[in-house]
Amino acid sequence: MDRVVQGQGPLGDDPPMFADLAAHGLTVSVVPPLGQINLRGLDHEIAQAVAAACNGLDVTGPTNRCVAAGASWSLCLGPDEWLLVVPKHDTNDTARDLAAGLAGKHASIVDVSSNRIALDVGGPKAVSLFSSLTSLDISDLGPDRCVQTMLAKAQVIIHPLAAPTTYRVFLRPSYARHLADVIVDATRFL
Amino acid sequence: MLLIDCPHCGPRDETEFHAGGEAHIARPEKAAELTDAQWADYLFMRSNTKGWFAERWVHAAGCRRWFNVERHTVTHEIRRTYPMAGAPTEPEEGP
Amino acid sequence: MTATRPANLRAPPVRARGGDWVDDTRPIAVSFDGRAYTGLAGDTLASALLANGVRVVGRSLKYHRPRGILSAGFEEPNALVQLGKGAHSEPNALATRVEIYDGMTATSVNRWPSLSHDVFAAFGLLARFMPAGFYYKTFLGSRVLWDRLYEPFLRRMAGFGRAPVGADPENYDQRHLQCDVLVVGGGVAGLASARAACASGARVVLIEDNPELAAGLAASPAKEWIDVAIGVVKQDATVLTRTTVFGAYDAGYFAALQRASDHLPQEARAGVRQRLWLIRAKQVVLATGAIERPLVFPNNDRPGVYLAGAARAYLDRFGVLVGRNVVAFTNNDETYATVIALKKAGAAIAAIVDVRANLTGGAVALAKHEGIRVLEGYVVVDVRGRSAVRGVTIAALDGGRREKIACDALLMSGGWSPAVHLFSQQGGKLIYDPGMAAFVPDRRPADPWCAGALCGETGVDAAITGGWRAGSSAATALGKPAPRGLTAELPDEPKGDAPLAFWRVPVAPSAERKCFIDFQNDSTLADVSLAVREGFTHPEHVKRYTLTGFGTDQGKTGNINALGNIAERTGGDLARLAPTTFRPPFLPVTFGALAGREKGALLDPVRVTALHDWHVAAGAAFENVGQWKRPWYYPKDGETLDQAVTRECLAVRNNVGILDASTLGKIEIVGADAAAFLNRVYTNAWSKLGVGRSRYGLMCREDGMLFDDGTTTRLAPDRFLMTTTTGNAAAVLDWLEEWLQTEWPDLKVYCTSVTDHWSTIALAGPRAREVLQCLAPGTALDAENFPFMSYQEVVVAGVAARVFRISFTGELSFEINVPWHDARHVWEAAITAGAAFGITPYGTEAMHVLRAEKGYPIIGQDTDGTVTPLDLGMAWAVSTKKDFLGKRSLARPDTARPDRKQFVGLLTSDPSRVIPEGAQIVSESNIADVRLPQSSPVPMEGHVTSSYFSAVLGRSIALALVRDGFRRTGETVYAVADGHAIAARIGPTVFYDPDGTRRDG
Repeated sequence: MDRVVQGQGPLGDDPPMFADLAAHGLTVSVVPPLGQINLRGLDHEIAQAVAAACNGLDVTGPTNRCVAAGASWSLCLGPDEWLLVVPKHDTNDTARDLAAGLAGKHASIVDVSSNRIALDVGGPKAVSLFSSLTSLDISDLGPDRCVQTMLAKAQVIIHPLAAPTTYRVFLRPSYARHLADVIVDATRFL
Repeated sequence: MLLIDCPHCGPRDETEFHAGGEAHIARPEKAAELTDAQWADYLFMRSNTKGWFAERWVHAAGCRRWFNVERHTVTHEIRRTYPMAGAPTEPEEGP
Repeated sequence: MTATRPANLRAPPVRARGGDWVDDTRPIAVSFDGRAYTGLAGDTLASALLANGVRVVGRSLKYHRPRGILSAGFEEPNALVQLGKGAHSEPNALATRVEIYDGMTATSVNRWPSLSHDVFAAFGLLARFMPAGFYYKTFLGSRVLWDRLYEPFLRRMAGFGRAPVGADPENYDQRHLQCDVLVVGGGVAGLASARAACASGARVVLIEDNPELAAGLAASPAKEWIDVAIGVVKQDATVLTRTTVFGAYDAGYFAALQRASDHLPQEARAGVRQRLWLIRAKQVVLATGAIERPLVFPNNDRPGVYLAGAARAYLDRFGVLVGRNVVAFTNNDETYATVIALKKAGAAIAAIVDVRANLTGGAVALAKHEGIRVLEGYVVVDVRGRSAVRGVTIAALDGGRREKIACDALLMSGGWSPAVHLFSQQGGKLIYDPGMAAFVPDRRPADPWCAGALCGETGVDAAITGGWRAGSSAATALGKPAPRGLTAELPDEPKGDAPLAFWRVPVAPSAERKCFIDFQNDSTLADVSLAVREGFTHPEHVKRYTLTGFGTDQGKTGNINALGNIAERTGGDLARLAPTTFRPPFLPVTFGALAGREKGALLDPVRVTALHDWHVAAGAAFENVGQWKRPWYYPKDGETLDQAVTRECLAVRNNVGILDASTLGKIEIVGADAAAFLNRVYTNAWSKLGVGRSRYGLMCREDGMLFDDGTTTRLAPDRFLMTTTTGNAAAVLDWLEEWLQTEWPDLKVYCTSVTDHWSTIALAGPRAREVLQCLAPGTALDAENFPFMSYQEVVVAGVAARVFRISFTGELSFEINVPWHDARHVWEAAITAGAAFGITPYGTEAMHVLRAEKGYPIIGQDTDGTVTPLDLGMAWAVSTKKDFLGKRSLARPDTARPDRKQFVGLLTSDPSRVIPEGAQIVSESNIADVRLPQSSPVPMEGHVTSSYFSAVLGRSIALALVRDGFRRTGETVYAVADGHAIAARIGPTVFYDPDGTRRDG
């Protein structure tokens, strides 16, 4: 069953509330919808099948490891949990390939593409922004790491992007407007 | 503000965790065979330790994994975190 | 300075020369108590007032004695002022810390109607009738007198400044900071610590309360070293000035308040007024210094009596001489250097009165060499002058001769108390050091590290050496290399005489009333003596009996003197007395700073669904459900709540309604053991549920009490979708994970939250099928092909949807789940297609009425954590065969009682009467007692949990928990509310369509 519509997320595509932030050294943009698959299982049982289904994506390694393969990402959320991020149009195929590869194994594949949206937060003041919202030192984050924490009481996943001081923030769409308001409020004081 | 060393995510502020009470209390497998007193003991009775205390925490805002913590109830010092399946530290011999 | 003031409040201007902190070329105009004064840029309000000769700045709490500036810093007990006006006003600011700016307005506090004419000053005459504990003793008698006379009067008397009226309009920021080494205190020791830690490569944060590092040390012989160190540290460390670390918490967590723009005029404050820093440090060095103690002697509180170190600070920092003709009274050497500095700045020194005898050290010798009169073994026994010091009476300690000496300022020093507050807040133990006559940190184990005057390293040389050692130790404890070199080459300081512990000047008991220990609370030596006489010998008891150590200053100058006198009065050993507990905050903190941006609209997250904007455009009124905003009802054309709900309910019963049910919690449960797992967490059985079928389930805690309910559907043999109540979504997922991870790790089950992924649109009513058919034209939706409690994947308005035939209204109903991004499209398609069928959006209020008509309970409204599934009459959903969480508890004697409170329906005798929810229920035999106001308690039979007017039934309905309710069907009981007893008959919980004929449409 193919979807024939593609609606808007909670912030729209290009919210005007973020336009003024650049003057404060901060860029915030809404990432176009991504395919997201929640994957559960034991890495030694599933790693091979995941690599086969997702262009060689590697899900071994410790919790909070974050690796990319081509246009796909694997964010390790726990010892047996990953968020696989793939191009939106690949979601169904990837889920199907994963299900086929993992048939008979103890694993869970759930399409969660709309369970989180993503914001890209960058600019010279990005680290300051995070320091006003979380006790974690985001500047310490290695290029292959993600963190799960709270920003303004909203649960998020954050990982650095290749661009300097730019971070991708995954959050629940129901919290998105609240967090956007908090970001705009905090930016006044950066 | 405690600093709790999540076995999976590393040290994080206490506010990212939920406390789950005393550790190493197993649910009776055959509850139906217990007397009311034995069931009440499992359900309601917890030790009120002064000193090192094993308790359960879950990294609610992070990896959502449960684990055990040994915390000193007077100083709040945390000396150890370990998986659910791990064994508590043996109490030290008194002088 | 055109204003004139009563002569006794003023002395001649005393700005002697430029100070390190002030800019002679920049005069600043301020107003104090409505009069204009001119200070210099860099002045504190206190230094500006002193420079203008202002002596009296406040009145004391209890006796309303005129009080002047005592100190030059955060320990100030007297000089509290109200700053600014209106909502910007700040009560109880310390004049000794407030930096002046052009246009500052300050007023004194605790005086009425004015400083110079204070009607309460008469209390001074009544001092002997208001001893310690008078509060407890005097007002026990008459309640009426307390309400009418004492309390209003005391409120006027007490409390210092006034809380601002209106919301705080200022901005407060909060930041987190992480570091290897936090150094608290930017004096010489802190500077040396920071420099050493930086040299080791550690990530260092240095925090200083004053505007500048190494405040007031411009004249130090180590100035060159200090200047270099400041330069290096500012480059290599994060340095926060005007910042107070006020709290030390567990695991290296510190809270600090930065006064970001308090020193600027209101109009120049850009953005943040204050910033709260929350700091996590791996190691900490405390270099918090020491606080000078007053000496305890009669009239030691007169305006013009200063702490000696404060006199030095006013001279060095601001160029202000606190007097032209000065007497100093001391028990230690530090005072001598101060006196010599004042003399060099032009003051006459009438005498140094030293409690010690036979002094041989360098400090005393130097003073004598300067020609200063030193009286060894002498004490001050009285101070003359009421609003300003005019002279002192001194006496030999051995009881010999007395002498009156004229002076206009008295400096006093009773020694130094290390500022151990943060050390103690962290649980550090204190020990009494007889050599210093002070409580100092017991540095075993050496964390936190301490340096400088905090641990008796007095003098610049010792502070640099000790600070370097502490900073180096902190860094190497983290595995950093030891820093190299860099200790200062400084001239040896002359060997001095040790201070002498001296807790009070011996005076007649009648004079003890004038010997002040806690200036802010007006606690005197007489009060401490009385407390001890009455048996309060523990410092914590004396504190509460005499109020010593309370107030905005928390006894920073008075506590140790109180302790010393308790020890003397009880004949005890001071070393065995513990100071009273130190708790955060070290200094008062503005509430706004603690709240940060969590106020107003940002107080707590507001969660909205994908359909929120549609609801807003439709004019919905919203209700908060947990963090969610949910449409409550959709008023049309000025409808009231009742009118709108009636219309919405009837639309569902007669045509079709549409509800945004997206906030329901949704959890996907996957794995070979998923059904077995549900068997354990739900009270009913799940193994035999077919694929594509749904079932209602109840969840209990281990104590057998209901925790959540919802419908769960088998999507595939090893895959279920569980729904939870809106408020419990996170708690249920945590609960499932807890059991899977802690007790049943062998079960092959994984849980994934999909609450935000799926938006849920409920179509309910006899015409729901027709609406859905328009959106999914090819799909067979009839009862045979799509039966009640089943599920199908359907393309709805072009979107792949999960459609469930479940009902929370008793009507034919479809719940359509689509991803968030598609929800708005599908909702609008349903509204458009439904127009022909009279589709009506309904909110949570109509939803509640509709489900109550069917007797469906809401967990958390009709239950409260003391209700079992059996109490709800849901034995049909409780398996007797399998074990489940909470099952054993259902057999506990109290849970198995037949006469527990049980879930019943209530129909009022008057069908138009709606019982208020929460009303208590009493039985008919007790109803007479209810009407008697003074009768004994009436047995409570239960309470009303839900109550509405049902439009479809044309009468009121209510649900209630009633003791032994199942057996009382037909009985009339009374619901008591608002002074009325409403008669109602107990009956079944299902009021509408009891046979369930409507759910198939």
